[in-house]
Amino acid sequence: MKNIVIMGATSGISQAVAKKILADDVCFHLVARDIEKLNIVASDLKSRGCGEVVCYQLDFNELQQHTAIVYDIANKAGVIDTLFICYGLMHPQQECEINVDKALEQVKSNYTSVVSLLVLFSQLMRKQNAGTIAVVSSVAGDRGRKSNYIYGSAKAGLTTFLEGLRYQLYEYGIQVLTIKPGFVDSPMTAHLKKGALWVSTDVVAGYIVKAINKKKSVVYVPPFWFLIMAIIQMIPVFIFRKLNF
Amino acid sequence: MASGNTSDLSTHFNFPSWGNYPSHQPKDVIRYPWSSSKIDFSDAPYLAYGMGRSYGDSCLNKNGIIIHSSQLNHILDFDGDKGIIRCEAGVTFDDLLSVIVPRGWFLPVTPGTRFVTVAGALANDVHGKNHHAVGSFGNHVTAFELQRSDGQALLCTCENENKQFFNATIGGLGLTGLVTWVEFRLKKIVNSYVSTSTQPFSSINAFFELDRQYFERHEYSVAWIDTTARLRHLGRGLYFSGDHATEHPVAYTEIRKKQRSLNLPINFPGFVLNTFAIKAFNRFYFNGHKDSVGQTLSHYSPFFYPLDNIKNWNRMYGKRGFFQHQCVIPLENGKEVITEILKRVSDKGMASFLSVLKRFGNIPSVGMMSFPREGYTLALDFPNKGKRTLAFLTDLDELIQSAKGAIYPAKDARMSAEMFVSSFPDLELFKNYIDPAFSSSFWRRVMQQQE
Repeated sequence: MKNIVIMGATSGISQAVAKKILADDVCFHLVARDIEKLNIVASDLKSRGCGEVVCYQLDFNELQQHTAIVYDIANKAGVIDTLFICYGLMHPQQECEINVDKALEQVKSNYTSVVSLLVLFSQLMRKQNAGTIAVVSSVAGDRGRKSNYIYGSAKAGLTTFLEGLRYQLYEYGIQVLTIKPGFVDSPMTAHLKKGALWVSTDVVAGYIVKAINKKKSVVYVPPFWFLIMAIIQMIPVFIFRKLNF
Repeated sequence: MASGNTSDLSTHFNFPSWGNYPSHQPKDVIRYPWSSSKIDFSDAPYLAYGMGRSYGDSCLNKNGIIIHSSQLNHILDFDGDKGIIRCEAGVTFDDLLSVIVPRGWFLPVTPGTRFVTVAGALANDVHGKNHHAVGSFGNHVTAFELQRSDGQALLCTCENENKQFFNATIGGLGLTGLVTWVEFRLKKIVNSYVSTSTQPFSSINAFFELDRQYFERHEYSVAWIDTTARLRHLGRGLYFSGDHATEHPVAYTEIRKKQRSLNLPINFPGFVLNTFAIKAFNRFYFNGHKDSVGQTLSHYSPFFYPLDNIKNWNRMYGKRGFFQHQCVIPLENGKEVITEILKRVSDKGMASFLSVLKRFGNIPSVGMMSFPREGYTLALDFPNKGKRTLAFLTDLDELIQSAKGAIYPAKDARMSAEMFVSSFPDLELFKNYIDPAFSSSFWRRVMQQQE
């Protein structure tokens, strides 16, 4: 059995990724806050022919519960082949600008809580000398923008953390993949206006699975976002501050 | 998310029907939340929308609210021994096939496209090439849940529970409430192939002769008609029949030749699909197949879903869209009326691009509003040329109505209230089960209510 741990298993991207990698020799360990949705995802994966599914309920912002859950998963799984972390919170930026609790909650769920999980899991996975850690960050972390810098800064922190972790785990044979999606039409972004650059979770999942299989380090999904972000990063400050995005 | 994800999808996404006519925009679009958090149904009228493959306005809700089923895409249970599957409303046949075929099962009934949702198949009680053998989709539904706007979640089963709602919702055009999941029986197969045969026939009389011989001999049968042929060739075409292959147990894997899939990214300009092009296509298609008589083994995909390889094929009709017209004529006068319709089509030079003729069997549909019933069913499509096309179709309707025939709502954008009423004898009974918070552009049109 291949053990695949998915943190944030009810997110649109997670569900699409799970459907792509399911097989009869795969055991999914699904972690999410909403147990009702989690059970639906579990029955979906089982009906589609996956080997085994174990569900764990966790509110990722309850940091003190992380250790227990991580050890529970490790005990049940034995070896963790792939750890996939894909959850996030996006409050409208204007609300965070005037509400410190909201701003901090945003940072906590997009950064602090992920750090907590990564520290715990990487300790365990180091002993295996194999495995994959794939984490969904965002293109929003590549440059601070006035419209989305609180979310963006949390993702930037996450990206930097992952980069360091990658170098450290390299000698243990562990792949650390940073996934940077652009605009994904998922429940998290349901409140936003959609344009031509938006892609479905299914398309995103295809690129993610490919990047995991190819042992990549960083992947923009879809790949054209690499180009867009390269250009955005080159825009000089005196122009960038006049832009409204 | 207590009341669904209210979003402004509606202003940024089009929610058209497959015929691209009429163009009716909803006031708002919400996605059905896939947990027990419910929609409060305070802002009627509502209508569920899945893949938008209904041709006319039965999937449209002008100035109303569309409940998009895209998040209801989970399979809740699949009994691989008994062949019973339970899935959420928005699961597509395409998705299901990829799960069930490798495990030796097939859809009990499938329309000519795999891009429909299970709830859409239920709401239109869709039929396929095997109607004569197994009935329509509703005949295979064992249970579903119906969410009513008063907050009740009704479990409806083919046995006894809420039987009236069961019969009203199958074929009920989404008007009885929101179907959240559907359970139905699958069909056992040995592999993913179909043993098919093609026989050309030189006239409509030859079709009826062939059909008399072959009707019921094969599990699947359907005829394609060259509507551009005239006089003694009137109604010539190709008779396709098939059965699931029983030999060659090619494991249960879905071995599919890498098929090129074409996409039409934009609407063609209106002049592209002119009469000449339609004629050329029909001739070409007939002549291309008339010598390929005999049996072949075909993967299920090209046999059941020949058009699915061209994504957005409806765009070839251009911005003005097209009309589908599907009727069923009772057996007694089927031959005369079908011949008369074909004669009118060919006399008026109305050339239909793809025309399909099939005999429905005598298995009764379970839905009060189900379209399939014993007789001959003819499906035609015509580019929208405005009044001329509409007048022609209205004439056809009169003929069909006098023959006690019916028109298929899933394909209709223009039938009269009178035609609708005469098509569905159980209409008055059905009205008792409509949810007051649900409606569609189609319903308001045929009930002559204000939009």
